[in-house]
Amino acid sequence: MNRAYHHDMTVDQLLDRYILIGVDQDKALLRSEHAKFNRLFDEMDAIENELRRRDDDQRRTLLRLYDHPNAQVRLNAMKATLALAPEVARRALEALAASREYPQAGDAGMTLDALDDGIFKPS
Amino acid sequence: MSRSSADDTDHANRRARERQPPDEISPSHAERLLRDAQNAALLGHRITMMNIEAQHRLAQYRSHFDLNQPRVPAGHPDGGQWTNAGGDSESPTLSDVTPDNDWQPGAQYANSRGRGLGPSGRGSEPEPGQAVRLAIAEARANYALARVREVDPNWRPQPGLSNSLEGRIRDYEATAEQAEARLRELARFELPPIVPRERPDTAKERNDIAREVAQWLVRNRGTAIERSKWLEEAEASIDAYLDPPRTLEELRKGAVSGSKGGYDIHHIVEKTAAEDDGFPKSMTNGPDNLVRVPRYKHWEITSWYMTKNRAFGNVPPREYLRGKGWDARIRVGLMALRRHGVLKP
Repeated sequence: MNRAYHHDMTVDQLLDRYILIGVDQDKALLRSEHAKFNRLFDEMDAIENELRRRDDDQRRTLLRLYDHPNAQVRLNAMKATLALAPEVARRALEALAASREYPQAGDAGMTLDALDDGIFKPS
Repeated sequence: MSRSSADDTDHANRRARERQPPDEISPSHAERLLRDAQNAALLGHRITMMNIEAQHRLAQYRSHFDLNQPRVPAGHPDGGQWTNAGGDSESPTLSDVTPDNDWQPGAQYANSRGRGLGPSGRGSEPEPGQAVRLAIAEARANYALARVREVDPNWRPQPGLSNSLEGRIRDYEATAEQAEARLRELARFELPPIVPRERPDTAKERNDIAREVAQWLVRNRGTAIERSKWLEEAEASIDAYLDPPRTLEELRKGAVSGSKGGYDIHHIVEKTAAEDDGFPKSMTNGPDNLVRVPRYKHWEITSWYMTKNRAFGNVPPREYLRGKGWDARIRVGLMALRRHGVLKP
């Protein structure tokens, strides 16, 4: 995704787009549309980088998505804020992993294992 | 197993069912399915309606709210209450607000003299702005409580015990936060997926719907769902998805005993990726690497391996594992089974 595309967006607009990406990723997983999921991941990554670039690392605004009804949106936000709020993000991941909200519960658990194994070093 | 081979299995299952008619749904079972679906739909509707109603009340309340509105002076029996005496006769008082039913914003505040407001109570006279904040906090708590109790009449917040006015404001805010949190929990209740009456044309469409049904059933702890006739062809896969986690020994035994409707033989270490990296078939197809798992779980884990992941270097875990040893692959493979609810922790 072109960086300039997100450059002119407000934080709220970036968050709105971030939510839509998560919802579409959830649908893509249900339909086993892996290429689509991965394209959406790239745009999600670009938005997180844009938020990080803004004053005071605006990725912290993703914390407000922890309560979003869509599990994929919550999961994305938790992973993206692990570096900023490690304890809160970890507790949220643990709660999601213990839930029955599959497949996101599975991914949340794998994220915790990756953290504990040193595979995942949030930055 | 690839999607196409999974579809083949579905097709085989379907043919098997055609030879053997599916069990009839008993009248009581059908009634329960219908009742649960109706309850779920009604609950969603009630939550929506309550939200609309609360928004309406809030707007009404705010539209009559005047920060400059005078209050009855301290020492008067109604001391502290809002009044229009001496003010604009057309300005309604807070207690004049007449909502659509008997819910009254500020009603508790108007009746709270004995709790400490003003000279007749235990607290001190509210400072300018304090009474406004108290009324707002109380209104917020009342809204939230009323909405929760429509759905969960027995729910109670932790009681607040403060006597001071600031303490009571905090108590109301705490009550509102608890009630709002409870409301968010209740609102998370999902409506069941919509199952078309007519059988969708493609296997992909049918699988997507059946998987959505299976996931919904797991999230809602097996609550029944209204099913269309065609969905019975996916019944084995849906039922298998509801399986509790099993031990590794049980899963391996399942693989040894062979295929079963609704289940797939799953390679703990991904077969093709491992063979591409030079691992022999004797390892990838060895009994230690094979488990029988619910088909939709198999698809979920396969999707997990194939999709980019922040926790695995922003690449799909399948790619992350390229060039890694057997032990690392086994470790990830077992974690995936455990975290997706297939393997007992």
